[in-house]
Amino acid sequence: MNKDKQKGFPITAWSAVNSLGTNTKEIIKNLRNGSSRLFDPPEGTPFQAVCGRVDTELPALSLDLQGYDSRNNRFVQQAISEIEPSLRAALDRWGPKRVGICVGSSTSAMDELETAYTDQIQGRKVPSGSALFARGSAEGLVHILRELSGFLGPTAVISNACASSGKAFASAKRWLDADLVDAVLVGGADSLCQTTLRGFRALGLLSDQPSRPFSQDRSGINLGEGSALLLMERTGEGPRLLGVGESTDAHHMTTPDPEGKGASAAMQAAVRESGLSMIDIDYINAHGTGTRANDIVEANAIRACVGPRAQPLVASTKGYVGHTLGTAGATEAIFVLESLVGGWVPESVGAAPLDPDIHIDVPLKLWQGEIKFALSNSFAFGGSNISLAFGAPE
Amino acid sequence: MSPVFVKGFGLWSLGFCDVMAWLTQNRDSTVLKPEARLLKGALKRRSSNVTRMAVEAYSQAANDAGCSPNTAHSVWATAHGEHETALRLFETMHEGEGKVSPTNFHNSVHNSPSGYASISAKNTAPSTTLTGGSELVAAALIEASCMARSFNNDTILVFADEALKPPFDLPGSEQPLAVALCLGSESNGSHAKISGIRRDSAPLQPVEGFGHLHISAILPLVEQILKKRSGRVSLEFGENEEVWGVDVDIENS
Repeated sequence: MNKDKQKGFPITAWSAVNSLGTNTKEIIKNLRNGSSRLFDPPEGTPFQAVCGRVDTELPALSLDLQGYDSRNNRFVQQAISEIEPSLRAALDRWGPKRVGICVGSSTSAMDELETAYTDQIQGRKVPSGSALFARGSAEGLVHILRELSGFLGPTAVISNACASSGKAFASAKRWLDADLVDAVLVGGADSLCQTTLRGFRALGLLSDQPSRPFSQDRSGINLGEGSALLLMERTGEGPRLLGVGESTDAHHMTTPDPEGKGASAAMQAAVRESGLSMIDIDYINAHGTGTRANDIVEANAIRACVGPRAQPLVASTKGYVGHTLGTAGATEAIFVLESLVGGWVPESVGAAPLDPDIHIDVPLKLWQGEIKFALSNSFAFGGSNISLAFGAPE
Repeated sequence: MSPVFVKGFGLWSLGFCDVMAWLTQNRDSTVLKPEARLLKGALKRRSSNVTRMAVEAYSQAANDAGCSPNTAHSVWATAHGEHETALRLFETMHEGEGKVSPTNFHNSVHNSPSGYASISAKNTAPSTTLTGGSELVAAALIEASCMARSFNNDTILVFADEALKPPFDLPGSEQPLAVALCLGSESNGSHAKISGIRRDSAPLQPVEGFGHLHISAILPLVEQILKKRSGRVSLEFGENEEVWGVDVDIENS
């Protein structure tokens, strides 16, 4: 363990909206209680599915931002409102041009574009392309984030499919390392849409039952939605991002490399950049989608990385909220931060009975004890891998 | 932020097979599809047009810089992603049982060009894909510069967007464009040094042939470097008084 390297960048505030709740307190209470909240899919889904849908009507955007109003941007508005005092404090502390925005999104508000397409072919009036993109694309997401936060530093939307918001931490860390900014609003937002629901079904990856990562009875993914936002600063109090590890499988567009070389490379790089060894890692929040292929490859990669002496707890939290795609990395980063601060690891819901071919320590009930260092994994289409290493508050 | 060095270029657009053809406006009506030789067999057949455009520009930039597409880090930027693929998905959702093609679905992610290029080149280096609006060019240049510096490795930055179709079309969105720059952390053999990315410049005028297509905001930087002119260049269109810009230094490259 290299103590000089372990300073990292503190995460000083965070908030989330997802199927577990519309504020972080409610979400974490449900997570800690082992209570998943999964629902029917959105209207118009032509098959049985289970979704981590946000089952609450959120307030519309204000009149001056009405042109950007969408389900996705309402998630963002809700998440920002919870951490507004911290964002204002960061603005005062660092100045607006020294605070940036770096978020991940895979589909943003694709549901808006789907509706516009349907309206067009059914002969209804459709707004202009620029009006549609304001509501339905990452362009609108950027605008909303900037307007609601007041941050005037660099702004980026990372779109590496399901690794998007995990990768946003890597980019944000590079900005801080390069002294381009002093604070970054990191996170992600994605909303459910027919494109992803039907697409994952076409790939044979969507389960029509609650997802059960690492279980011998697992049958696939549930999709989810929401937003997760975190304030990472140069200095401050809180759990810390210590290192990031990125890699590419170079194997297949949708199937992970069966040897898990890309996943291993990402985890090892994150640990190395943190000045840690794998034996220091107490907890890994796995990508853990609940598909046959992902879970076995990831478990084997973790086993190979940690070696025979270490036995970190490995949980998947996708059984609680579904796979929130572009916002999964940030959502699960928040779950990890809560574990580091509170000293607990959630039950890996749905995992029992464990797959006998999976040789990692999966908690089948709430675990309580000190967590000093943790990893959070996200893997994606295109073979994109990211692992984030976090440390408990100093 | 430390400077980086521009080591090579790539470009493909309808009628323009490379960056010099575009710079000299030597339009060739036979240039209708990108060659994308890096993609072979089934990968080429399955890939979308925007992926082939992006991969063509990627390969050209690697070749121009003398860097290997098998080991370079990469950053891919697209405002509208796999637009035609998304439209095909929307179409098929309204046909029969509304099932979609699995290939079209996995092709629809914004990082599809990165996936195809990495599989073809067996390149396991980190790769980031960015999207967004008017600030996309600046954000991508920042990401690629940070990557080149932090990994001390050649980083290929690719911009690609295809023509947009109704109802999603925008003014000036009729022409597809892919542009690539290879960035390195060392000066040897580079075209230019770039530094000082900050928001203090006047907005760009639309680039001829590309209207307000967000990614075409990279073209004035490409033109300035190839015409060997030092000075500050804007990276953004729009109505804001101050937009992102960057310093180009030819003499010290």
